[in-house]
Amino acid sequence: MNPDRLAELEEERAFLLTSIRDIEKEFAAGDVDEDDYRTLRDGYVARAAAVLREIDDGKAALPPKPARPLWRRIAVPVGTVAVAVALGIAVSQYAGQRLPGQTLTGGQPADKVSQLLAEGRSLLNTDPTGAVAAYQGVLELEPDNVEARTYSGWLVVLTGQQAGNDEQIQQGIDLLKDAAALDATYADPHCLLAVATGRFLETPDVETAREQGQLCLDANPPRDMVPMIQGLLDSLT
Amino acid sequence: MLAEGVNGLFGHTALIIGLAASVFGAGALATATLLKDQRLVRTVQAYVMVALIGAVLAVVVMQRALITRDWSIAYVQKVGSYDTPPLFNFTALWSALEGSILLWLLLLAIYTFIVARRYRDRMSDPLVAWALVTMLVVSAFFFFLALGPTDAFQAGGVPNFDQCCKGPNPLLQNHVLVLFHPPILYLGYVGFTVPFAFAIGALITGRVGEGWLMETRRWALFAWGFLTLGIILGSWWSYEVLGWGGVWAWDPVENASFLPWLTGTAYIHSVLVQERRGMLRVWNLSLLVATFSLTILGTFLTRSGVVNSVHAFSDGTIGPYLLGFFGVIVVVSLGLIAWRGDRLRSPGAIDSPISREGAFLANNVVFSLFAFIILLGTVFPLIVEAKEDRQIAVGSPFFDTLGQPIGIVLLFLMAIAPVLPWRKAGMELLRDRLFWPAWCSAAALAIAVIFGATDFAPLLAFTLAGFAGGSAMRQLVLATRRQGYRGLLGRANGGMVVHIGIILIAVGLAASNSYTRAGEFTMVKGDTVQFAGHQFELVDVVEFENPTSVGIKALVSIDGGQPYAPAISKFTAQGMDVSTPSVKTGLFKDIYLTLGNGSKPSTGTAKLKIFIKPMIVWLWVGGLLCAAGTILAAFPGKHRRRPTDPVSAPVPLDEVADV
Repeated sequence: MNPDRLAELEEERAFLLTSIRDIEKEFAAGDVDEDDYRTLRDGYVARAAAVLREIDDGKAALPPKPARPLWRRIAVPVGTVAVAVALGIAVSQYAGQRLPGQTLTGGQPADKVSQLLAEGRSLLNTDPTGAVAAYQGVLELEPDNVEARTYSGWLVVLTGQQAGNDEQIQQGIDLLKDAAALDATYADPHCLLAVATGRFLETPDVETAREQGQLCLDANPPRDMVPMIQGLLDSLT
Repeated sequence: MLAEGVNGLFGHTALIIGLAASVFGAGALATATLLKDQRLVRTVQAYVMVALIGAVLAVVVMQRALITRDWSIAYVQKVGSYDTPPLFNFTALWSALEGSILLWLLLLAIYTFIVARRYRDRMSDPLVAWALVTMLVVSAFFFFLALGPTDAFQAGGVPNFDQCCKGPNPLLQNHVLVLFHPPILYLGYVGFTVPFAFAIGALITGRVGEGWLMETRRWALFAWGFLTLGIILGSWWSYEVLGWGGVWAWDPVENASFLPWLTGTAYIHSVLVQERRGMLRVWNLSLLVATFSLTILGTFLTRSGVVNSVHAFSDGTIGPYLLGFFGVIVVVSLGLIAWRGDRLRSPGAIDSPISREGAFLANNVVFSLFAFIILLGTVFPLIVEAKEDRQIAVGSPFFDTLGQPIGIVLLFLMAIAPVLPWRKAGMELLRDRLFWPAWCSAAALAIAVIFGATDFAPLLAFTLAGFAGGSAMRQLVLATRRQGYRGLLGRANGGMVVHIGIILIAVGLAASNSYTRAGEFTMVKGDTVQFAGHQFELVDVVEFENPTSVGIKALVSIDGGQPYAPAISKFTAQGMDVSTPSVKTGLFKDIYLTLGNGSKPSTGTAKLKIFIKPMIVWLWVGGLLCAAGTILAAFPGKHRRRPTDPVSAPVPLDEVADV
């Protein structure tokens, strides 16, 4: 007999003999009722006898295990495929456009304002029109949102600067001043006012630029803004 | 570029030594096993020790570099700063990609060393030898990562302090849990390397019976325990730091940690069926392979930059390596399982679906389905983006909607599986054993209704939690009556303690997800508002400053008691605002306060958001019980003549009389 097959038969013999001993104990412990005990024990004994005969006879063939019913052989793969298809449909139903700043899945339930602000931030340098729309959306919900007012003003300044339109730049500066007045501790409008008045106006407003630049530095701006504002202040002296 | 400093030189040297020791150790042990060369086998202890020394030295050198602010190292420039407090300067080691790989490496080297020491007298056993070879190969891969794509000791340029050296992400220097959550989570992730390695050893040697399972039982249990605790601590951190009032957001990186937990949980249940009945061999091997490979997939998701998440580290070049390693693990493991298919045939079969093995099989199907749902939801956006260049997201409702019924089914299985006997259960026996659990479920429902719970889903969850809790308590009461304090020890009884922990977590989640109340108030100093039966008074709005941040905090008195102080900090180096909630914790509800933008000390105005969150503390208590139960489960219970003795034998009447 093939040694692997023999090992397999011996393993099955060990398993069945252990099972017979176990079922005796479990019956004694009250885990199995009498009918089940007799049915199971007879099954194990019959299978163990068949295995022992196979080993004794030196036959290679394993004793047959009870065949799985046809319905089970069909139901398992069909059920698996059906569940997979249903889940595929479900995930596509629940999937939606990913917004800027949103994670691939789940995510904290951000409010509309936070989503629009994130959208505005992400579009600021690549799609000014989209960023303006996002900030306008914020201002419709929260007219005093300082970030939206700051960057709406800044986008007006940039548009004016690209068009060489001093009047438009001045409009943007006024909007930035309104934003700065809303929250004196928020550094960004001061920083942007310093840049707009010191760099973008045809005739720079040096005094305002200095004042706003200093306010910006005093208000702990983002670190990457510091060298820009410091450079501006140095150039104005 | 600066010339490589002392720390960089020592760090690189340590990693090179570790890599060499792992590669040569794996090669030597594989050769020795194939050639049956005992002399060569004995050398492997030295290789493992040298690899451990390499990993420890690399971590110590990196800590030294962080403490001394050695700006010649790029990683120190990335996560170090002069202002970071010592605790967060220490945890900066794992606050970014390169350092986190060093931590992984250190834990893997420690696990490898313990395995080598534990089995030093059995190193000539091919199964143990191939397991250690596998661990050394995995170690070699991580040493390679640490030296190449994620070189933590890479020399940095001349530091430009306007751009660099800002310290760790502000979210990672805002709470002490950052000291515990990542290392404990990693202990879980890395710990699954051990049972995986033994599974590979069993497949290579063809000894796919139950022997290797017995060897790795505790390893798998501890890895699972650490992973569970790590996930719970992560939820706690999220709750205490992120300020959105929740504990779990189905973020892709959270999902990445949950996936191996699901397959690992399925494994520690189904492995009992194999030990006891010799069944589910292929299934158990597949679960182990899935668990280990999902830890690598999770590492890929966290560190490759493919996902944007609060936990994800920024993009690096590590992605293809991790994905390649993941592919190798899956292909090699499945190849070995296919090769050994003939020996994996189970000698047993399930006699009846209404039996403990039947319940475990059902539990495995449900856990696997849950894992598949989460994997599908997590990778679906990546697949769509790769194929159609379209950016999509799968929102929380997908996971919540599909996860809820699965949670309900799992609670039901937790209730009935512990009372089911092996092989076959009769109706009379079930009636008898489910009597008290059924009363517990009725009591849980009644208590929930008395306390005002409404809606079908949470009420069903509470009822089944009572049912499952009653079932677990029944087992513990019977066992402790029979064996005294030892009735809490052992896999079956420790497992019931874990079940109680999981039930507390399920109740906490059901309650907090269903009955949270939230309100937003703009208040001026001295104002009082009533909300959800509590009185909130804004005592003051003040500014504060510390070395890394400036900010404002509102002092809010709840029901006339001591003030709580939700805050917004601006981390000046990063220019990032971080909202820090303040929580009044109670056994049955938390009052969670956050401060919104637009709050001003000058006018004494605060935009306050108040959450009333029921039973949150049950999550943390449940997590601790899971950890305690895992430890109890790892201790041997009552000494039995054979491990196949019944575990749910009735209490002899004379013993009951004694009690």
